[in-house]
Amino acid sequence: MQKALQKTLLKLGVAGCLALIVFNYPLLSLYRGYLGGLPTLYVMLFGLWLALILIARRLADPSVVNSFKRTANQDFE
Amino acid sequence: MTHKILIVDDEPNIVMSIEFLLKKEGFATETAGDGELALDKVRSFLPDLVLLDVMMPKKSGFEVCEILRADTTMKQPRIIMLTAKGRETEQAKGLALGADAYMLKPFSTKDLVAKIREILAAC
Amino acid sequence: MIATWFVGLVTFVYLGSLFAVARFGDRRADAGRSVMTATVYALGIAVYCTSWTFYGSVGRATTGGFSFLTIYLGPTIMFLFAAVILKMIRVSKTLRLTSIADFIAARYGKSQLLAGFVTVIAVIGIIPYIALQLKAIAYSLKIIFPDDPEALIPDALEALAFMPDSTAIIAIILAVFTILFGTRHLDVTERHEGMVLAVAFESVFKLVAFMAIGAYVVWGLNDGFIDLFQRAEAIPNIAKLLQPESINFGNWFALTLLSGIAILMLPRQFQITVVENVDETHLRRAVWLFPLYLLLINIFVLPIALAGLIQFNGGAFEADTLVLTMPLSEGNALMTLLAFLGGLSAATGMVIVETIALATMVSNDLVMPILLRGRFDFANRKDLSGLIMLIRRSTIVVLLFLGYLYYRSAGEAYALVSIGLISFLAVAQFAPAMLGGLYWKEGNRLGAFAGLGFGFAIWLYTALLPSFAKSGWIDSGFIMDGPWGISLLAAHKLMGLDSLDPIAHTLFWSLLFNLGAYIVVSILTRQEASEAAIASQFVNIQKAGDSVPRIWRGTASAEALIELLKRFLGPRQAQLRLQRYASNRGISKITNLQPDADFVLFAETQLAGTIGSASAHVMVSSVVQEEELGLDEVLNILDEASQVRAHSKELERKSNELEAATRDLRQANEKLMEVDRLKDDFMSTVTHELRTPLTSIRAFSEMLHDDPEMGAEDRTKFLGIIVGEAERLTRLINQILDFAKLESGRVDWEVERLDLSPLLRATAESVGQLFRDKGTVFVLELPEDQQPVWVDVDRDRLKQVVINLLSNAVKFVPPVAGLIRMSLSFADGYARVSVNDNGPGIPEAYQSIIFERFRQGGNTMTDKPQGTGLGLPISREIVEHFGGRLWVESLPVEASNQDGQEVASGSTFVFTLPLAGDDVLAV
Repeated sequence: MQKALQKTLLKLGVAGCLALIVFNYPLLSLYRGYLGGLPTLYVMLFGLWLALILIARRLADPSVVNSFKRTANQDFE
Repeated sequence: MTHKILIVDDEPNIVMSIEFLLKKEGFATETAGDGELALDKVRSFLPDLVLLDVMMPKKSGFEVCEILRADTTMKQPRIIMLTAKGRETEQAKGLALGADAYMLKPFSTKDLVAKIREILAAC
Repeated sequence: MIATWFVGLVTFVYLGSLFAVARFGDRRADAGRSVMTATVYALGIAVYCTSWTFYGSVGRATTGGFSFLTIYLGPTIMFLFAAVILKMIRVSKTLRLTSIADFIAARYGKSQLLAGFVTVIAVIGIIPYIALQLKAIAYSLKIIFPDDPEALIPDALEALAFMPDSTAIIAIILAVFTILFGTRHLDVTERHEGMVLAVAFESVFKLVAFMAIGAYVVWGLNDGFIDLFQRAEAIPNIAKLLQPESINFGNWFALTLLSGIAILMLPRQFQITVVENVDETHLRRAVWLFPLYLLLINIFVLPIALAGLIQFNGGAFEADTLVLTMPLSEGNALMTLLAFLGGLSAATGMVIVETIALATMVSNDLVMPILLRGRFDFANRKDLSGLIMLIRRSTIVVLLFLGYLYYRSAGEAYALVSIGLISFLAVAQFAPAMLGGLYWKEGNRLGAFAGLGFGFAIWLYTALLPSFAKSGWIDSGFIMDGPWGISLLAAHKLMGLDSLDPIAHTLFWSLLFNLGAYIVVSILTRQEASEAAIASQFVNIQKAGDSVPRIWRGTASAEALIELLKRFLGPRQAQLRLQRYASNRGISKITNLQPDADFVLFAETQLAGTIGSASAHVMVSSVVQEEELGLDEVLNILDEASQVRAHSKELERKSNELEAATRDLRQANEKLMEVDRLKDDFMSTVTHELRTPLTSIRAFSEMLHDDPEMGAEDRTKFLGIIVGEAERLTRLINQILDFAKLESGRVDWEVERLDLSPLLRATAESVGQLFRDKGTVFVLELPEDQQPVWVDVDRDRLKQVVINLLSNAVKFVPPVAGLIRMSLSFADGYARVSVNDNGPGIPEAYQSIIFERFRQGGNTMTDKPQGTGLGLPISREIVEHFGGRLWVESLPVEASNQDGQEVASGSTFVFTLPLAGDDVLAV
């Protein structure tokens, strides 16, 4: 259990480092122009943000992910 | 009177040798080649003594011995077990099941005849 | 446009519902049905979004474009580093830490001075922030009722001299709320579930309100997102806000970093995230739900800002209150009211939690130390719990009053508008001492003082004083030109660094000096013994768990400690906890407790929850005689503890290995015993098989010997039997030796490549006499056109197999019309030889038994076949040695043809052998 937790925390940390990269210069400077009528910056910032949240949910809160798609492998605790 | 002896063994040569020996010694004999035949013969021939081989087809000597001893309705014959297996546990098992004596193969014909006479004299 | 009384009513209904929610939460908690779910916890953390978010984000967006997002991206990223938060939670729970000041002080040797210093920084940094919230409330009222901002106050009350304005009324209500729901327990580490539930409720409310207004602006006043952005694109000044070129990447990074730090260091965030955490698994939800909250509340910020910019294009407008003024100018009463209540909820949530957090710090770390060492007859009072509670409650009132006072005196000044980020900068100074303390054992008290001192000084000079100056309270010359004209010391351009905006500038310099001083001083100075012990506990909290080494030596009296607990916790609480502690140790009466290190530590931890760790340490020290432990001694104990841990891990590993070895041994032993038993069985069977022919031989020999008169006929017959049995005995002995050799692998195989067809033919001829004796018909079927079938085998051994199979077959064929058929074929790289007889066949049950040693399938047969019972096992060994297989197929006599392939009745023994080299056989 403790090991699984450490692993989860590590994965989250890696996601955090990735977030630092995609939300900062120089990648940030690439989100210019418009995308489907919306500013690319707006789409990218919120899109990446949402992706990050979904990743975090998947990594950290399996109970929620499972409750949405209860499959046969519930008994794996 | 002549004592009746039933010889039970699945080796025809052994049966033949014992039969020849005992007839010469003046006993009335019958033979059986397996355990089931032996049981039939005991009931029809009513032997005084059974020479019973242990390792036989259909019913082993132990089984035959046990069945005979459990049958209280008939006259109980004396039983001498014959076996090629020398283990002490086997001997003990035979005696425990109600056999009167135990002979280890290969035996001396003199010893066998002496043992038979000794046992028949005791009754 | 909206009736005054109606706004007043709605406001008080809203605040009233807050009370109801909090009361509900507390009742449920008291009944043991906690409302603190992971979701409530995550929503509680959203207290981060204050009125500064609710109103201010849009304001920032009108001038800074996307830069407002950094304030929310920082926390999002920081929550991904959940390991840090988890460690903070674990440390705080273990030591019953009550606030961020308590946390830092505890780590650095329970220093009251350090706790006080942190508290002072927090109070100076945060009071203006509270004032900002009050201002937001007042300002929103002023916008709704431009003519009479005090319209909410009933005329009757207005006559009273001490009732200055409606903001004050709200502040008083908040004070009452905070006292009611924030100081229910004396022990701060006891949760305030009602308060957290109310805050979560406010979080939901402000989110819904803001999104409703956003939707109203985007779809109600405009034609959706794309329409808004397209109209913005048409105006160059606005369009450029939407492109990355408008972003100063340095400032962007600085603000992300700053807000990421602030989410951990703000007293209210520490309160909710750490102190109010009831279950560390709740963090799993917060890791994504809180960022999702931030995302949702920000989606409409830019569209609202754009809508405002387009609507008031060129004209003057209050960017900071667009959220309120847009629906107001459209005359939409519902939306206006919603905006007002949303702002109110954002402000009140922040004020409540921040006040509790600050009140804990001030009462525990400023007031308590003074009282404890003061001249008051404090230490001798019997029960102090009531007094401590009174102090905390008064502190709440004082703090709110200070906030109100600051708001009144600063008014419209710049100092208030920019205070959000300036507050962030103040609390960011805690980061090096705090995070360093969690991960770096060598960080020490002097280092923490130095770092905090430098950081705080730079913050005062480059952030707080300039904000005063910009408000016109002091001369502003030092900001750009430096004091006394020394330009290197200019507050916004220290050392001439002028490429960063003021916030990033302060962040850079203050953190640089803070961190630098912390590290350098920590390295240069020695840690005290007691500090080293606790530092190790902080850093190793995850590893050590409960096995924290107890580093304490001295003499104590249990009575004095119990007395102390009763005075500070109140007799009932103290009794309760002592009882629990005692029963955990199997002691029935608390008077029997031993005043050992454990008990002293327990007492101190209990006190820490009420008066803070630093004061608790002082109080406990006053009743026990602690022996001073040398640093070396402490380090030795710690070292020993870690060695013991390592050692026990090693032991555990070794014992696991041992267990595995034992298991292996046991298995090996069982195998050996099994082999032994098999061998025993084998010996017993061999003996039996040898004795049986011997019995006949001996009996007949003796009879011949004893009876010279025996008839010639008998004599010949008996001698024949003796010869036959002697042959049987010889064969048996040979086969046993053969089999033993095969099994032990000591056979010299003479492998050669040969064609199976001639071999089979020759072998069959050699046993031809057997067939003729019994009158059996033998048929040999070889492949057509004499095609050779090459295999690599030992010729004699293979002949042995074939002879064995053929002689077996002869035994079983009926005496009349016996038929044996041997055939050779090949397929799939294997040669296949089958020997079929028309005998009785072998029942399925015996088909595998016959390949076991000394097992003959004869039990069902009327006349026992002659044989040793070793022929088939030996044949199988031989065939398998050459990579083939040997098996039997047996069908009832009546079995008919199948698939056109002739399947004979009786028994069919089949063996296969791999064909030699693919060059030989090309089919």
